[in-house]
Amino acid sequence: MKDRLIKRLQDQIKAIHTHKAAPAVPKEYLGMLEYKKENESRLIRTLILELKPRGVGVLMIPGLAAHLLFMCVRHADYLNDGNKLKSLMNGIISAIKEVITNQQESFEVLSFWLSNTYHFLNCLKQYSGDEEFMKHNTLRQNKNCLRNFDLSEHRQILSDLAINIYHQFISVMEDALFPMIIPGMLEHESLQGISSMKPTGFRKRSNSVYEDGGDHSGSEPFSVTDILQQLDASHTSMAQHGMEPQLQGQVIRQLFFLIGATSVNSILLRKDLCSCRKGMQIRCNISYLEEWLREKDLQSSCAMETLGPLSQVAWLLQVNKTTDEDAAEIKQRCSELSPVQIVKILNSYTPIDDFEKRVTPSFVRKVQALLQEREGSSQLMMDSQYRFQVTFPFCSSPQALELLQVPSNLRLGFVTRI
Amino acid sequence: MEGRHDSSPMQAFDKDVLEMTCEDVYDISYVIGRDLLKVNTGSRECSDLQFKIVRVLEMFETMVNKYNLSLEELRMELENMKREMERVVAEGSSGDVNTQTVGPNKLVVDLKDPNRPRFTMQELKEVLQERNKLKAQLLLAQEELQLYKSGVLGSEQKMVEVNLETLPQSEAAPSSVVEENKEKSTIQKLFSFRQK
Repeated sequence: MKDRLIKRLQDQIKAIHTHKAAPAVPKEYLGMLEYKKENESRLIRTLILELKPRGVGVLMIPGLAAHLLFMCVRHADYLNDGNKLKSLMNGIISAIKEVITNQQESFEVLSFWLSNTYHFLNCLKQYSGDEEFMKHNTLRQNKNCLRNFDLSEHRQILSDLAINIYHQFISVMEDALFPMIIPGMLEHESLQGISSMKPTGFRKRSNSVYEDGGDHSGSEPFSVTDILQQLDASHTSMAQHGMEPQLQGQVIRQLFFLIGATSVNSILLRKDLCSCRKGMQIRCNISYLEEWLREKDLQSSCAMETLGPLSQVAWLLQVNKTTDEDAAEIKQRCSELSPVQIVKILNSYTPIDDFEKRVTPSFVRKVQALLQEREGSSQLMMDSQYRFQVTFPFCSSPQALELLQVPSNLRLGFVTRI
Repeated sequence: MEGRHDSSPMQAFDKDVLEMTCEDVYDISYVIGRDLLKVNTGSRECSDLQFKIVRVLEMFETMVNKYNLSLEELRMELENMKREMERVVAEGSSGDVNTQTVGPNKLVVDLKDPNRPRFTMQELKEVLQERNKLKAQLLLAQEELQLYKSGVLGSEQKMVEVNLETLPQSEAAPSSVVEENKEKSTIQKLFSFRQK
């Protein structure tokens, strides 16, 4: 018994000497990351420049990179070290710029940094001490606010950077999506009994829908399924990078707009697309897109509204175009189309068989007369390059900074959790 | 740039472990992370658990990576070995005829070697048997000679009967000649043999 007691006491002495005393209370962390000034460039390199957009830690915890960066910012502020803080903030902003410039074609990198820049911006607001951003904070989160420095100027720069990344991101996605729109929405015929082209059905997607330059020369043409798969890939990536759902919605809305505008413009220029049958096909495809939105819970994104003009064109192609009542209905239903556009479609309308008649010039005149009061631009085509203005409304994060640990595969061993 | 996996993240869970890639581990990480967020109470315990899971999945990522790398290395080595073997076989079939390969259990003999083996086992056996027999006969003859020397001369009964049929045929003729000279001298008698 005595021996055991002696041994136990010896162990305790040893533990005290090596600071490994079994703690009764777990260590309380402050939610900051300490790093030596000379390690700043290494920090930025590891956490921004060389950080892979897909990794265990960053995928499990949305916005992890942003939060870890903010914890470093907090510590510099805590030390009341203005130079360190300024250097860090500028370093972060430059590094993000560098990454998105070097990898401007990379969908993954752009998605990742769009998400994390937005998160970082939100952190700066949430812990700024500004009351308007503190409404959803816990008591502890309020305690974690910045004490000594005001970073609102840097917030502005970051906001501009985020807008930049957004537009780059949209461009990359549009480049991938564009080749699919006309074949997929307009040309491919999937409806039963009226197909002249073999329906492709579900087609296995290549390993990267963004690496495959969408070159389908010689292989099967695109169908609406391909469009949906492309949207899927975009959406999955954004979700996995923890992008705020509201920002995801803005992205999807912009993409839907491109689909709608490109389709309308094509129809306006091609007589072969102006038939009743085409109208049916387009309505069918629009319903697939709508279903996809519902599946992904993106109805609040207002993406469907951007398909309004296309939807009305499809209706116009299908409806009877002979009587006065028809003309009145057209005026009523095609609210988003300009008179120029409506007239063009009526004139281009091509019957598929002998039973159908062309639209008579007198009917067209009737419609024109009804639309006279309507102010429409004289421009025939829609501006498919138009971009909705992106906004980054403040989003509070429930993440408790003092509970955040640093995953070891991020190789941040030179940084200390405080 | 890494390509995208072409299945939904959930399918990673059903994959055969030995066919997994890092991308599958990442998909799993995302799904688990998302589910954890749903049950997260914000407590320290939840957070600690979350990071323990992060650690385990990172270990899994490292192992999957290592496994796939080793597999790739082994495959390449196998390829190299195969190519090497094909090369050697090709060389062998088109090579020098003098350098014939010898099959198992074979002996190469130089025909000019004076000490080369020349007789079969059977021949050797026969020669040895004959030698043994002659040796035995010689011993008997020596014994008889001793007896005669020590005073048992002239006794006809003491003459040694020998079965001439055991002797090689070439010596048959001289024995018949010997039989005709029965009245010869003692020495002749001593050295004569009665033919059976």
